Amino acid sequence: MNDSLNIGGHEFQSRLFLGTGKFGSNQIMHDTVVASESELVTVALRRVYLQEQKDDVIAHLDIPNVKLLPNTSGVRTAKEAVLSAQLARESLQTNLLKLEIHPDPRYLLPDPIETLKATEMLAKEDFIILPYINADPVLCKRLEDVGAAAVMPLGAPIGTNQGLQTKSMLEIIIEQSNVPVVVDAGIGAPSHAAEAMEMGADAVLVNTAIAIAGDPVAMSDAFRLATISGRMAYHARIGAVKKQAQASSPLTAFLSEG
Amino acid sequence: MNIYVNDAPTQTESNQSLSAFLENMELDQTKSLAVAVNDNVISKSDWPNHQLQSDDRLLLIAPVSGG
Repeated sequence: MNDSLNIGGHEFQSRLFLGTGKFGSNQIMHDTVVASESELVTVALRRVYLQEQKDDVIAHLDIPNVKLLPNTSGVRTAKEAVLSAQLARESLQTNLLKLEIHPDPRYLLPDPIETLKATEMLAKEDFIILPYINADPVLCKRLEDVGAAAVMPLGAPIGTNQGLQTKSMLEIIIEQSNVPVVVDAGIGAPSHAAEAMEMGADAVLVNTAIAIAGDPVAMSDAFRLATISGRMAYHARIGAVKKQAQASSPLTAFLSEG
Repeated sequence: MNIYVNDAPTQTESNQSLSAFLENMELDQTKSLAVAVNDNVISKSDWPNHQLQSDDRLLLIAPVSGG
C-alpha cells in the first residue's frame, strides 16, 4: 500500500521529521538522521560573523532522499519572518519553510497573530509553509485558508519532553484539517510519537528527545519504529475505550459446572 | 565608506561590488551564504553587479543546526 505523505508537492515515505539542534557533534547528527530514515530535517539560520568557526552542518546533511526544512527561529514579527524566509530560500534553494515566530524566550510559545500574517504574505511568494503553532484548532483552519501547506501544532513547549499535553485539541485539529498535521515540539519518547500517529497525525517532528538521548542513533531508530507502529495502528483502527469489562475469554463454567 | 555588517559599523572601500566585498572578507566561499542589503535579498548571481553604497545595511546569514 502506498502510504506516502504529500506536503506541497513533496512526497515523503517517512513520517518522522527530525530537528538537527543540540547534537553532540555533526557526525552524530548525520548518523542519527541516517538511522531515523527521515526524509525531512530542519535547519536554522544564523548571522555569519567574520573569522568564526564555520559550521558545516549542510555538508553533514547531504544524505540521499533527505530534504532540508529551514526554520525562521529567532524572528519576532511577521515582517522579520518574511525576510528570514527569503534568505532561507536563497541560502538553501528550497521553497519549504518551517515558519516559527516565538518572541517569548521562556516558553518559546508561538505568536499566533504574527504567524497568520506571515503565512498569508509568504503564501503569495510561493513558499511551502509549515507553521509551528499552539494546538489551536481555529488557528489551524485560518492558516489552512491563507495557504499553509501543513500545520505543526505543538504537543508541549519546545524541548520539554512532556508529550502530548494538548491531546484533546490535537484530536480536533486532526479531525478538521484538510492539510497534513505534523505534531511538533514536546514529543519526548517514542511512545509519544506512536500516540500522535495512532490519533491520525500525518507526521511527527522530533529533535530534543533524540539529540539529548544517551544514544541518539539508537533512539532515532526507536522513534522510527514507533512512528511506523503508530501509523499502522491508525490504519488498523484502534478499538473503542469502554468503562465496563468485556470478556475476552468464554465465560461458561469450566471446572465447576454440573 | 561605512557600511553595517550584521549591525556592526564596518569601514570598506567605496565603489565596491557586493562580491568584491565578500571576497575581501573571505566570506565568498561560505557555503549557502545568503545576503540581504537594506532588507532586500540579493541573489548570488547578482553579487558581482550589486554596487554597495555608503550606510548600506548588510545581513549575512548561513544555515546552522536547529529544530
